[in-house]
Amino acid sequence: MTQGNAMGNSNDVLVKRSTEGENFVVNALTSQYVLVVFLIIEIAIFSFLSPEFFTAPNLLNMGKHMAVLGIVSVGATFGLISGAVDLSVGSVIALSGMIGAWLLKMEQPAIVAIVGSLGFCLLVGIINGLVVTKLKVNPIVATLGMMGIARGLALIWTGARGMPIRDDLYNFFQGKLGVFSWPLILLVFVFIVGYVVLSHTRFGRYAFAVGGNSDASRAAAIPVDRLRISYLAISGFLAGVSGWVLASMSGAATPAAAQGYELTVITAVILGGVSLSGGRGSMTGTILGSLIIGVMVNGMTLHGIQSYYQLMLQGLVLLIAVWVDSRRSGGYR
Amino acid sequence: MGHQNQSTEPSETFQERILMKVGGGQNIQVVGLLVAWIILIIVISRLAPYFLTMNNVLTITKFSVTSFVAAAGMTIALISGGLDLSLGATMMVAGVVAGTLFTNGIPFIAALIVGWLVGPIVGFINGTLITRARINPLIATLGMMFILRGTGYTIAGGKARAIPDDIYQWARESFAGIPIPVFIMAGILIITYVMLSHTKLGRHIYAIGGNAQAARQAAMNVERYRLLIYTLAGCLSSLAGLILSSIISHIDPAAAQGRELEIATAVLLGGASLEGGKGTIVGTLIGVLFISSLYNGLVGLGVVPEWVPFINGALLIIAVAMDQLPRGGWR
Repeated sequence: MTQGNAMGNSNDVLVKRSTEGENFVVNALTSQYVLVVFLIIEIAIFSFLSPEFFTAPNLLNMGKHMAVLGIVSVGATFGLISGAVDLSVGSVIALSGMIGAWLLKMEQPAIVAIVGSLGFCLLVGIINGLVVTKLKVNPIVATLGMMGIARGLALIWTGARGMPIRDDLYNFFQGKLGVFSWPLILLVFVFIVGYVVLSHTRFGRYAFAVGGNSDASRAAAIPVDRLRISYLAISGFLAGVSGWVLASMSGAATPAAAQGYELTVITAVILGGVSLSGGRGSMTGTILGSLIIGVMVNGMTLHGIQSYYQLMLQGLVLLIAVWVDSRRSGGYR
Repeated sequence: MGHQNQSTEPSETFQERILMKVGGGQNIQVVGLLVAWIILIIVISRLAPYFLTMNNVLTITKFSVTSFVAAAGMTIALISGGLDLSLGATMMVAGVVAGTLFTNGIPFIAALIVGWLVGPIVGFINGTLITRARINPLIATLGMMFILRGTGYTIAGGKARAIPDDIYQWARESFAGIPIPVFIMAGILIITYVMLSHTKLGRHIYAIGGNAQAARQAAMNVERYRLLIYTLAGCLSSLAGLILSSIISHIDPAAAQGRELEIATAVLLGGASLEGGKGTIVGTLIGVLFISSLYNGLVGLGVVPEWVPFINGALLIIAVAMDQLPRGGWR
């Protein structure tokens, strides 16, 4: 009951802010319909610019590559709603592939490589959670530190060299089921599970309470610390899954994979309406956010736009998304 | 002006209270770090005799200077309760702009001035994002970092190019046996020290970091101070970038990558706090020297450079945990 109250209150504040809402643009962008409209416009522009964009092969190909972004974003949504940004995901993606490739090279069966790499990433997520809850380090800095540690591990593990992967079971994601590639199918599955867990289980609903007001949640006897560790563990685990998908699709693991990817993930998730300060967001928003970013990256690549322009544009989109978020939630004071 | 004078009074007593509360603990941390640094030097020089040779000391010094000048900006930002993660990228863009202009025939001094101007412009944009758009400084400067990296690659064209000219390598020269950058470092140290400890501006920066709300109630224009603080941090970063680009004498869009984390770790080790209101420039100096000596020593001892991000991440977490744990920390 108390949890419901805490959330009710934060909704009241929201309603009040948006009725006072001085800024039409911000109010408009808050709505998820606008994200849909934005996505449609984006697709229209890219179809106009390059004829091969809106073709079935490219759309399916895009879905495949979007899997990497989408799966991490689902994990990041749990973290962010509970008030903990996870900046270590990019490094964890690389680490997952490296451990998998290393275990295969040690002539372990593929199943050991998969379980071992995903288990290690889960452990990284748990350590993030422990640092945040037990050492009481601000999550941004805790995961920033972990970003360095995990990237360092990915580099150290094999002396900074990439490794080819030639195992059919590990490279499972190169395959297809009918016309749909396995990464796309996994992405849809992860989204559905994420949606159900976030919206329809107590475990998921608590994320909003913990992120909205951790002190009130503690007063309501919600096990805040344990939940925070779990949400960050999910984030680490799903980053590990993404790393597997990425290494599997490309048939190789490189320690420099997904460098700076945390920014892409955060941009997608915040664009989808998850608040940087926690306590607000939805899985459908995250889906829309990752679709917008995924389409943007694919469209720009098809159009032959240099990767450093993409970098600039991504920074810009992040700042716009965060600006909208800060107008909604009062912002930094 | 009359009413402002009146209302700044309570803020000063508030400021004194803060200083009294943290002053003692802070000196202990700086002294502790100094002792740790000395022990580190003794241990490494025992293991690797070349460590204390003139050549290597010069290498460490040059690395420290570029880090320290930018770290001075980071110190100010951290004391005010913020953070500037764009400073590594700002360093790079300043160097790339100056180098590109110079190789295209613009006079040396003009190229340096235009390159330096990158800093204040970036800092002003950061400050505007933080005070007007009310974006969390960490994310604002992180987004800026990406925009700047992209800008640097756009200008430099994706590859590093050498600048084969003696004049541009001014930072490699020495005066009276002391490398020129050391003089700049000493100048920045003194100016920042005086500003932070002996001016109203400095006291107000501590007050804003200690409690922005209280500072607002004491009629301080927190937003204007923040704008000034990030602009200052930008000025210092671009200066550091010019020194770095002269030392490496390359137009390199990948320069100073990840430097922001090393600098943040050094400043936090030196006694600053993520929550603001704490930190000294002397602590920062020792923090920078500690980090530079550590990395130089480790690489010299045969530790592969791949360990650097690992050690850096671990140190960052340790530095913040040491600061946060005794005070209740993040909730």
